[in-house]
Amino acid sequence: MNNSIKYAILIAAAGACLLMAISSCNKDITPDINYDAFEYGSIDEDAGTWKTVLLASPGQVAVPAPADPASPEYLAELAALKAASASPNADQMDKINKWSTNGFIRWNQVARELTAKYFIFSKPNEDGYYSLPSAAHPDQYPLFPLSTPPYAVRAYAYLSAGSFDALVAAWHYKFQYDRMAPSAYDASIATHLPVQPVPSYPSEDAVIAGFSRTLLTAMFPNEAAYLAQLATEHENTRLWAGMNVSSDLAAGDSLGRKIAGIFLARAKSDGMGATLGNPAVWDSITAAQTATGKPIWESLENPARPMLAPNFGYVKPWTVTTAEVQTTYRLPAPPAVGTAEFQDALDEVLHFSKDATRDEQHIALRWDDGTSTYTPPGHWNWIAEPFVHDARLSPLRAARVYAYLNMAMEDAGIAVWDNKYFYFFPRPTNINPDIKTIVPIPNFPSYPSGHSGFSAAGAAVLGHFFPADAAYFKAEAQEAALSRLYGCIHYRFDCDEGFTLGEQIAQKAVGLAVQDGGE
Amino acid sequence: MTKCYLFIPMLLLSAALSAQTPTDLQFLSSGDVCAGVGIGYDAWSKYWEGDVRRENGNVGTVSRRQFSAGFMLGIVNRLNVHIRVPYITTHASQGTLNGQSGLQDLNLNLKGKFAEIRLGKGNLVLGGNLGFSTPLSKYLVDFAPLNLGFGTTNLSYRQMAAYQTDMGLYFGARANYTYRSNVPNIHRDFYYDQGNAYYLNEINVDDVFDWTLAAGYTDAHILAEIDFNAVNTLGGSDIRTWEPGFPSNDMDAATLTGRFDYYFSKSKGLNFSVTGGYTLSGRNAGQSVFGNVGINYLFSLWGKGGAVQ
Repeated sequence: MNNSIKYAILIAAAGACLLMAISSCNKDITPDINYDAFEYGSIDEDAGTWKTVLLASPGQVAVPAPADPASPEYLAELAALKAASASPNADQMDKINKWSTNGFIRWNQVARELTAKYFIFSKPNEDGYYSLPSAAHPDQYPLFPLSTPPYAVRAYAYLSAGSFDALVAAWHYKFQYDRMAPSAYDASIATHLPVQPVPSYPSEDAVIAGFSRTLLTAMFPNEAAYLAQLATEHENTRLWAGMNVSSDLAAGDSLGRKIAGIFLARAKSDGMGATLGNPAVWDSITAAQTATGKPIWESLENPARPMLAPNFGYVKPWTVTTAEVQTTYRLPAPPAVGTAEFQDALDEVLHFSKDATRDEQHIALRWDDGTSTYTPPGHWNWIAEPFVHDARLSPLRAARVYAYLNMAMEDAGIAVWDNKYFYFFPRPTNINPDIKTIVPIPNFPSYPSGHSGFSAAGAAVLGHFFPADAAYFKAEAQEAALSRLYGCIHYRFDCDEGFTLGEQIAQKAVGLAVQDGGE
Repeated sequence: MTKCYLFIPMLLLSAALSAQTPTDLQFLSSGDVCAGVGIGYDAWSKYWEGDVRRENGNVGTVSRRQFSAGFMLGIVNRLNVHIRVPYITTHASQGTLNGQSGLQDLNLNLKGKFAEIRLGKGNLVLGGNLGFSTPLSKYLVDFAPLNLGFGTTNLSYRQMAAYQTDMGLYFGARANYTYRSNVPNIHRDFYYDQGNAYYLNEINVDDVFDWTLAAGYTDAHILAEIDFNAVNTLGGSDIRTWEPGFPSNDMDAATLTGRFDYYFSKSKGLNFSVTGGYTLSGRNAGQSVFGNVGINYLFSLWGKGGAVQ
C-alpha cells in the first residue's frame, strides 16, 4: 500500500507540474477589441464644404436650429445630462469605453460581424437543387442575405460612403449652429471621454448610430432588433459619458436616418437585386459560353451549384461607369487553354497542389476569407482599422478613408465580375482534376482573381491616405493575390491581371479623394 | 502475464484524445520494453452537423490512415511510461480538397497501479494514467475535415478500475478528463464563432470528458475485449449548416470497439493486436468505422523480465 501511495503521489505531482506549465497560457479569449479614446486629430471646420458622394449639398437634409444655450429647454437638458453622467455603473463604463470615440469603427465591425454570419451557402435540397435567399422572406432558409464578397463589399461601400456624407452634413450644421459641448456650458457635468474641439449639435455619434442602424437594417433585415439595440446603446453612452444632451442626439439620429434613406434609394436601383440571377439567366449564360467551343467554367461542387452572382458586373459602380467597366476595364483574354503559356500556368498550380510548403499553405488560409468570414473586402476594412485609430482620425476623417476604400473595392469587384462572366474561364481544377486545393474553390469563373482585385484596390487607396505605409499595404495585397495561387484555385495570370485591374480602378477613387476638399 | 498494447483505434476525436492510448490496467515489469508499430484506418461518409446526420458530396468519404510508432517502458513494476508518435494521412473521396499528411501529436503517458486488492475469486485493480500531448508539426488545424489534429496541447488524467477474475474474465470502467489548451494559431486573423467575431488567430476550445465500460477475457495467449466509449466535449458550437467543422465545435461520440490480441509468449517476443469499431452516435463528428492492426515486440532492458503484474 505504501507503493500505491507513492505512485499516486508521483503521478499527481507530475500532473500538477504539467498543469501549471499549460495553464500559464491564459485560455480566456474575448471578442472585444479595446481602443483608447482620443481627441480628434483635426477639427475640419471647413468640412461642410467638402464634396459629398450622393448628397447634392451638405445642407440637403435640413436640421433645425438648436435651442439657445440660455433657454430653459437647454438648461433642463443640461441638468438631465448632469444626472445621467454623474456616476455610470460598471456596465455603463464598459459601454462608454467600447463606443468611446470609435463609433464609426464599431459600426464597421458590426457590418463585418453580420457579413460573417450571413456568408454561408445553402445546403442542397433533396432534389439536388439549391434554394436562394429571398429578400421578400429574409427569415426563411436560406436566410437573406447571402453575404458573399459582392454583397459584402457593396454593404461596406454604402455604410462607409453614406457615413461620410452624413458626417459632412453633420459638420456643416455643427459649425453653422456652433453649439458647444454641454460641459462647456456647465463645468459641473462629469465627462468620461475627451471633450472634442468641435461643436456638439448635431452629435456625430448619433449621426453614425442613426445612419448605420438604418442602413444595415436594410442590408441585414433579420437583424433589425439587434441593430436597434446597438444604436440605442451607442447613443446612450453619449449621455452616460456626459458628452451630448438629448437634443444633440435626436438631431444627429434623425439626420443619419434621413441620409440613410438617400443611400438606400440608390441601393434599391443599383442592380444588386438581380445579381444572383435565376435558372433562365444561368442557362442562357452557359449556353452562350458553351457555343464558343472553348473549355468553360463549370461548378465543381457536388451537386453542381448555380454560378454565383453572374450579374454583379452590371451593378452600378461609384467611381467609374458601367460602360467603362465593359471597355476600359475589360481585360485582355487569358492564355487559351492548350497553349504552352497556359500549360505552364496550369503546371505551376499543380506544383502548389502537390508541393506547397506549410508556409505557403498558411498564406492560403490567412487570406482565404471564405464562408463565415468578413470576406476579402472586410479583411481590408480590418487592415485599415488600426491605422485610422492610431492616426486619431475623427469619425468624419475615418469615414472618408473607408468611403474611398470601399467604393474602390466595390468597383474593382464589379470590374472583376464583368471579366469573370465575359471570359467564363475554367478554374485550374476544371482542366486538371488532379489539382486539389487548400481553400474551397469559389463557385464562379476563374479569370481574373477577385481577391487580387479587391486587395490591390484596397491597398492603393490606403496607400494614398497613409503614404508612409503604402509599401506595407502593397506587400499585403501581393500576398493576398498570391495566396490564391498557393491555394490552387487560381492561375498566376488570374492574380496578376486582377491585381492590375484593382490598382487601376483605385486610381479613380484616389482621384476623387484628391479633389473632395479634404486632402 | 505481461501484455503490451500500444495503439488504440483512431477515434474521430483522436486528435484531442490521443493521450488516452494506455487505457488498460496491464503493466510492464521493471526494465521491460514493449516497442511496436501500428496501422490504423478510420472512415466516414455520414457525419453529424449538430444533431443532424448528413452526407456531403464535396467530401464524399473522409478517411484517415495512421501509422504509429511507440514504446512503453516499465520504470518500476507499477509505473510505466509510454511514448507514441503518429503519422497521419487524410483523404476525401470526392470534391477538390487536398488531403493532408504529416506528423501529428507527440503522446506521453505515465501509468501507475495504485492498488490491487483480492476480492472474492478475483482481483480489483485501481490505477491512473496521466497523459500529455502536443503537436509535432505545424499542420493545418482549421482545415476540417482533413486536418491532422487540433493543434492543442493536452493534459489528461484517466482513473481506471478493473475487476479481473481468476477465470480470465474481467470488467473495467474508466473515466478521463482532458484539459485542452487554446488552439494557438489557425493561420488567419479573423473567425466567427458562436455569434461573435474574433480578430485573432487563437481559439478557445472546451475540455473533454470521456468514459468507458469494458468487458473482456484474457489468458496466456489471447486478450479479447469489447469497449463502450462515450466522448463528450464540454461545450462549444455546432457546425453551421453545410459548413466545415471548426476546432471549437462541441464534438461528442459514442463508440463500440472490439479488440483482439494474440501473444506467442507470455513474457517476451511478438504479439499482434487487432481492433475495430463503429461510431453509434455523435454530434459534430463523423460516423466512422475504424480499425487498427499493431505488431509489438516485448523485451527486457534490465530486471528479470516478464514478471506477472
